[in-house]
Amino acid sequence: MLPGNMAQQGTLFDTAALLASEPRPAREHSLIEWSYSRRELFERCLMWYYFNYYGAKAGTAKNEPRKQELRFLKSLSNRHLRAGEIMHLVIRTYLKQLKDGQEWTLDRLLRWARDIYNADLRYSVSYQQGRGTTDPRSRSKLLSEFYFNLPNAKLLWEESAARLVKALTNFVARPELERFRRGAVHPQSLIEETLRLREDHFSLKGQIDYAYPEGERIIVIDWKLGASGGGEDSLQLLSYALVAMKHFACPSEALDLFKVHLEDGSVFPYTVRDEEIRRARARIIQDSQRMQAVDHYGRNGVASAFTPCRQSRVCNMCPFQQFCAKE
Amino acid sequence: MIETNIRIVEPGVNLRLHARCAEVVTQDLSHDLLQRACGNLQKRYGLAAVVARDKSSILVATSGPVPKMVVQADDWRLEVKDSGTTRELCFAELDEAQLLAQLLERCLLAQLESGTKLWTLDSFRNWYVPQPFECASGIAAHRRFEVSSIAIEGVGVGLVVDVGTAFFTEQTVADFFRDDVLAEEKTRLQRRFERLSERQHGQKGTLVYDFGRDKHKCYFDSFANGLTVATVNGLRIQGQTYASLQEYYKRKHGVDVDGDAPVAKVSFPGINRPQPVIASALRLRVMNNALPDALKQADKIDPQSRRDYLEMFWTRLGDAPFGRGLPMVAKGFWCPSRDRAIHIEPPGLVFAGGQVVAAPANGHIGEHRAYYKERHSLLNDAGCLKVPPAITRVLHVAVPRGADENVAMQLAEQVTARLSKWTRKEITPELMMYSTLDEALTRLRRQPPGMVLFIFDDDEPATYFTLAYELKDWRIKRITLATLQRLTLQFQFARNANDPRSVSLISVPRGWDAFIEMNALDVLQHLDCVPWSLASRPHYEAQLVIDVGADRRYFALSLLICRPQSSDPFRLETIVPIKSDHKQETINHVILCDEIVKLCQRMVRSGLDPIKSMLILRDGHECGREMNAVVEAQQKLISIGFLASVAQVHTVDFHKTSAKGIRLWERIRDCEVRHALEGTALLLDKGTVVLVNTGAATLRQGTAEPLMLVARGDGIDMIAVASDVHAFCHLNWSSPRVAQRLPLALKRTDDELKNRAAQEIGRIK
Repeated sequence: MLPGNMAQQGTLFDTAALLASEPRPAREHSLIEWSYSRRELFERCLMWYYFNYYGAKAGTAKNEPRKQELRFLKSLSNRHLRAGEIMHLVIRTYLKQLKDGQEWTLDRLLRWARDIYNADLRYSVSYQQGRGTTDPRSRSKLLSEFYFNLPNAKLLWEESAARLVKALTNFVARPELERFRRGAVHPQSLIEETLRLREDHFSLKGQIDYAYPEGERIIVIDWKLGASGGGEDSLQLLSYALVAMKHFACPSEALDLFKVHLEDGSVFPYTVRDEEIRRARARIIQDSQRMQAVDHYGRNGVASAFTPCRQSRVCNMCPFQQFCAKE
Repeated sequence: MIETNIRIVEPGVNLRLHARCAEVVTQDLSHDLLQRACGNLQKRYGLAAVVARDKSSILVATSGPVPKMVVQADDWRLEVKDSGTTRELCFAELDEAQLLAQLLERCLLAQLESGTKLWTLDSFRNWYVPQPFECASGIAAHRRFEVSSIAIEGVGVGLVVDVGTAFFTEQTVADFFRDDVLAEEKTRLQRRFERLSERQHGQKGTLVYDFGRDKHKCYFDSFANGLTVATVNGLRIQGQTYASLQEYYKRKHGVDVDGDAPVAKVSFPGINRPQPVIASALRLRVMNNALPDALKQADKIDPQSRRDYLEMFWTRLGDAPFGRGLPMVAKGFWCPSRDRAIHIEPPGLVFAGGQVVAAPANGHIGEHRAYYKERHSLLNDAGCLKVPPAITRVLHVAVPRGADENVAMQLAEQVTARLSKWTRKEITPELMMYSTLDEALTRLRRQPPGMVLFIFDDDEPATYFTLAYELKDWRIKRITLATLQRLTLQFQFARNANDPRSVSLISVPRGWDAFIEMNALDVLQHLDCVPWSLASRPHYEAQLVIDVGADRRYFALSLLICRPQSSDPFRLETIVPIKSDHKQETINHVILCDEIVKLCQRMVRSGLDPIKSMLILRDGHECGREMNAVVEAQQKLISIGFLASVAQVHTVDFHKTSAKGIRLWERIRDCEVRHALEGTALLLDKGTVVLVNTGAATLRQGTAEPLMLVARGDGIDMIAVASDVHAFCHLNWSSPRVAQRLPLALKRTDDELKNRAAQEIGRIK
C-alpha cells in the first residue's frame, strides 16, 4: 500500500469525497526510500533538497535547465562532510583489519587520514587559485569553502583537520572504547553495512556504522565526529535499531544503542523500548509522506515548489547557494 | 455603550511629537540590524526608538542628543550616531500615525522596564507581575499585562493593554531531579515533571531561566546526571572561555554558586547547541492542559475584573506613562461612537422541513439566549437539514478491555439513539472490546470502512497517528480511556437477581448527557450531516478559508458554499495538505495554487453552478507570494467553471485573536461593565473590523475574545464581511446552546489542524 500524502488520510469532514471520485494520478510512484541523510536535508532546506535529489540528478527533473552546473556543485564537499567521511573510512578500515586479525597503529591511521585530507586541501587550493580543473576521476574532493572563496577557508580546514585527528586519537586511545573496538572480531559484526527495510508503508535505507553481538545483546554504534549535543531521541539510531532488529532477528529489548562522540570521547547509551520503535516508525512514515507530497514537483523540475529556508547558517553551507531564489 | 481596553493618547488626532534622528552606520543596513539598534538604545539608555520611514535611520523619543553607541557580534557591527536634527511626527499625516503609535508604545515599554517591578520573558510586550496571585499544588499563577498600540483613524493613537495569566512551578528543575530521596519519591517527582511539561505529547518543556538581571525563556533538553556547576568544564560562551560553569557565574554575574549545585541542559532560542545551566535557576512553565483543578479557572477573567486590573495598571504608571515631557493618555478607556461600534444582526436558521429559527428581533439578552436554545430543540424535533443518502447505518465503538463494558454499552447506545433521532435513520451500535491496538485495527479492517468511535488508553501522538493512518478510509472520533473512566466511577448499576451477568442502570454521572451529546454531535458531523444552515443568502456565495497549523507542518483549506433556497443549498469540504516548508508561516505559492484548484475541482466534478462571489479568509495574514497564488488560482477557477467569469473575489486576513489584544465590553454605569452581546463589531477603519462572536447571551466565564478582520485590497465592504463571518458562527453544530467564536469553515480547518498536530511525532531528530 502506498503511503500517499497526508491529504489521503480522510479528513474528519469529507463531504465531496463521497460525491465525486477523483481521477487516479497518471503514474503512482514507488515508495521514496527514507534515509536519515535524506530526511535531514529535507528538514534543513527544501531548496537544497530539490537541487540534491532532483535538480542535480541525471534521471529526474529533466526540465531543469541548470542540470550541468547543479551536478558539478553536488560533487563539492565541505569540511564537515569530508572530515566525517574520512573519519568513517579510517575507522571502518581499522575495524575490518581487526576482524581479519591485524591491528593498525594510531600513527598509521592518522598518517593515512592526514594524507587524504591534505590532498583535498591541495586540490581545493589549486582550484581556488585557478590552477586546477575539476577532474571527475580525482579521488580528492573539492571543498566548498575554497570554491566559494571564504576568506578564512584555510583556517576552517585546519580546525576541522585538528578535530579529525582528535577524534581518531580518541577512537584508538580511549580505554572506555576498547570494549567497542574489540567487538569487531565477532564473526557477525557489521561494519558500515547498508541495510534495507521495506514495510507496507515505508522503505528505509540505513548504513549502520557498527554493530555486533555481545552475549545475548546486540550492540549498535553511531560514531560522531563532533562533541555531545542535544537530548532528543536520536532518529538516526532508532532507524538503525529498526534495520538491526530485522538483520539480527531480535526484539527491540535486545538492543543496546550507543552514540559515541569522538571529539570528546563521550558515550551516550540509549535504551530502546517498543514505544520508541513505534515512535520512530511513525516519524519515518510521516517523513516519507512529506517527501512524497512534493515528489511530483521534483520529478517535473518545478523548483519553485521548494521554498528556500533563508537561514544564513544553512545557506553558508549550501553548495547550491548561487542558484537559490532567496526572494 | 461599548467600551474598549484602549486608552487614547492626548490630544487625539492632533497629536504631534518631536523625535531625534540618529544615523545607523553598518556594512549591511538591514531591517533586522536597525531593530537591534532600537532595542539596544532601549536596553542601555532607556530610550524608545523606531526605524524611520527611509529605512536607513532611526527616530528616538528624546529631546537631547542620542548617545553614541556601538553594538557588535561575530559577523556584524553597527554604530548609532546622533544626527543633530529632530523631526516632528504628526498623527494627521497618514504614514506617520503608525510610526507615532509604535514610538509611544516603546516609550511605555521603557517606562515599564525602568519604573516597575514587572518582568518580561518571551516577548518584550508581555509583562509579568512578580508575585503570584494564587498558588495550588505547587503551581504559581501570575498575572501578565500585554501591551500593544494602534493608530485609529479619526481618533488618535490607542494604547491597548490586556491582562492574561501564566503558570510556573514553584519547584525548580533541581527539585524535580533531586537524588537525595527514596527511589519511589524520585520516580514520582520525575513523572510529575513529565506530566507538567507535557513531554509525553512531544513538547520539550518550556522553562524560565531566572539568574542575574533578566529572565529568559528556554527549553528543557536533559538533566545532566552526575554533573555539577564545578564539574562542567571548558565552557565557551559569547567568545569567552570559562574553566567551569561555576567560574562563568562568578565572572559574568558576580555570583558565587555552590560547586555541588546540579546542572541541566537547556536550549535557548537562536543558540544551536543545548547549554548547561544551574538547575536551581530553572522553573517549568505550565500550560493550561496540565493545570490542577484548583487552578483551572484562574485564567478566566470576567470583563469587570479585567477592567479593574487595567485601571490598576494605568494608575501604577502615574501621570506620565510615557515619561516626562511626553504626551499623556486620556483618563478613561476609549468608548467608540455608535457609528463605529455596531451590532450585527444574527441570521435566521433553517432546519429539516424548512422549519426556521428566526433571528431575535431586538438586542435583549434573554431573547438571544432563547435563540441559541431553540436551535437545539429544533434539531431534536425536526432533525438535520441534510443527511447523505448513503449514510452509514452502523457506529462501531472500539473499547479497550480495561474499560467497563456496561458503561461502554451505555455510550454506544445513547450516541446512536441521538444519531438516529437527528438523521431520521436507524443507526445501530457495534461494540468491540479489544486487548491491543493491533487487534482492534485488524478487526476493523476486516469490515468495510465506516465510522468508529475509538476509545484508547494511550494518547501518545504515535498511537493516534497509527490509528488514523491504518484506518485512513475510516471516519474516527477518538475518546481517551481516562475520560471514560472518570465518568465510569460515578455510574451505578444493579445486578439482576435472576441473571447475575446482566445489570440494570440505577444512575448516570452528572455531565453524562452533555458528554453523550457532544460526542454524538461530533459523530454527526463526521458523517457529513448538515444539522442546519442559514435561512437567507449571505453576502458571499462561497467562503474559502486558508489556515496554517501551529507547528506549520500542515495547512488546511476549507470551502463552504451556501446558497439557501437553491437546488444546491449547502456544501462544505476541507482538505489538509502537507506543508513541507515548516520553518515559515507562508505557504508555498505553487502548492497553494494547486491545492485551491484541486479542492474546487472536486466540487465542480460533482456538479456546481459557477460561484458569483467568494470571500477568501486567510488565517493570520497573507504573506510571501500567497496573494500571487490566489490570483493565479482565480484564473484557473474561472477556466474550470468553478467561478463565474465576473465573480467577485475578496481576500481578508482573519486573526483568530484580535492581534492587538483588543477587548470590548458593554459599559452599564460609570465603572460597571458586562459582556457585550454576540455580534458586536468595532470598525477601526474602513478596512479593519474587530468582531465579538461570543458574549452576553451564552458566555459564562472569562471575557469574550474578539477576532480581527483586515481587508486585503480596496473596495471591500467590511460590514458585509463581518456580517458573513458572524452568520457562519451560528452554524455552531458542535455545541448548539453556546455561541461559537469561529465561523464554521474556520472551525473545521482549526479542528483538522489540531487533529494533525496531535499525531505529529515530535522531540525526535
